[in-house]
Amino acid sequence: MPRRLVCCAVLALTAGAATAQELAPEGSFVINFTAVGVDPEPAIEIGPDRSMGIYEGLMTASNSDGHGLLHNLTGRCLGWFTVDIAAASFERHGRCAYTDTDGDTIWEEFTFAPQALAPVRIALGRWTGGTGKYEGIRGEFEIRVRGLRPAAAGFGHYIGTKQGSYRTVRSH
Amino acid sequence: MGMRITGIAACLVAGTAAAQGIAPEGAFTINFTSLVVNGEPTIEIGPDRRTGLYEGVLTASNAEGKGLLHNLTGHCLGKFEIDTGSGTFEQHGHCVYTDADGHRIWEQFDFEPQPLAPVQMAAGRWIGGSGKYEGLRGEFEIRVRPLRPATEGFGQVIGSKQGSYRISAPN
Repeated sequence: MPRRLVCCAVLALTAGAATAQELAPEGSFVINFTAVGVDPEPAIEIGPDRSMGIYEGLMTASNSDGHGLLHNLTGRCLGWFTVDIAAASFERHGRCAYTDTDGDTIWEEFTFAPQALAPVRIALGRWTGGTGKYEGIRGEFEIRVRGLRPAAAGFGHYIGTKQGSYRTVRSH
Repeated sequence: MGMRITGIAACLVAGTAAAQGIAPEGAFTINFTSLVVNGEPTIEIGPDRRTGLYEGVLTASNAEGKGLLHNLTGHCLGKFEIDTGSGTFEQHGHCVYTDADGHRIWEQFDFEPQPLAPVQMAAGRWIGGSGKYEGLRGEFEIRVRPLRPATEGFGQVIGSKQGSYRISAPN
């Protein structure tokens, strides 16, 4: 069954959401986020006790200051991962696009280097640019993610933080 | 194409710390996000009026960083009506939240008829639970803000629940 958004209330109300504020040219941040993983295809076996899969996540972010960078932005992430069951380790790599109410976008890259399948996993994140008010944005940050018990079949749930700094380099 | 969870999520959940014990009563502020997945289109129920079904998957965290509903996930079902002529809507439903131990909290929410404002308000109630949440009761205000969806086929909402709860041991 295809996924269709028909909740008129949601659509109608989004248009009324507050416009994102202008951002300082640089700064530090702590951003909280949740992710719902939607995996369209099962993982494939790539060796003894090893599998590989692709990842699609829908993100909701809020700045811990209650305003500012990534506050109330939504994101979509695509990536891939490998899991080594024997070694109880995994790695994951991908990219995300976050969009604010004005339609301006921030592009993110994340790298979970090979690590243990621990409750909290750590990645390096980078902002590599954006559009509109985020044009020229660069940032480096640590991502910490905890996997939660899924609420329903067909979804994965994660909660986490991004902590780091950013700067905006305007093009000439 | 069905949606299936691949191994990584399941592997990692198993390592999640068990939920902490909950005080018998208290106040709370809980933040949550909701991913809205609507499987069926709305139907017309009058001039400028439609009704539809709602399904949401939620992720909650307690503002104190621990305690009630911290790092719980939820699944909500409900119905809504929208009047585009008057710019109002209402929505009613139930949720079940589950912690890392598989213990559950049952919630009821009611968005009474109100304007289609950027922030909407509902009355929420916890009407019980299982395991460590058995006998849970709570009343709270829910505030939600719809966000621009990240992709087609979903809605995304961020919000808070603020109120108080008590746990009455069964007789």
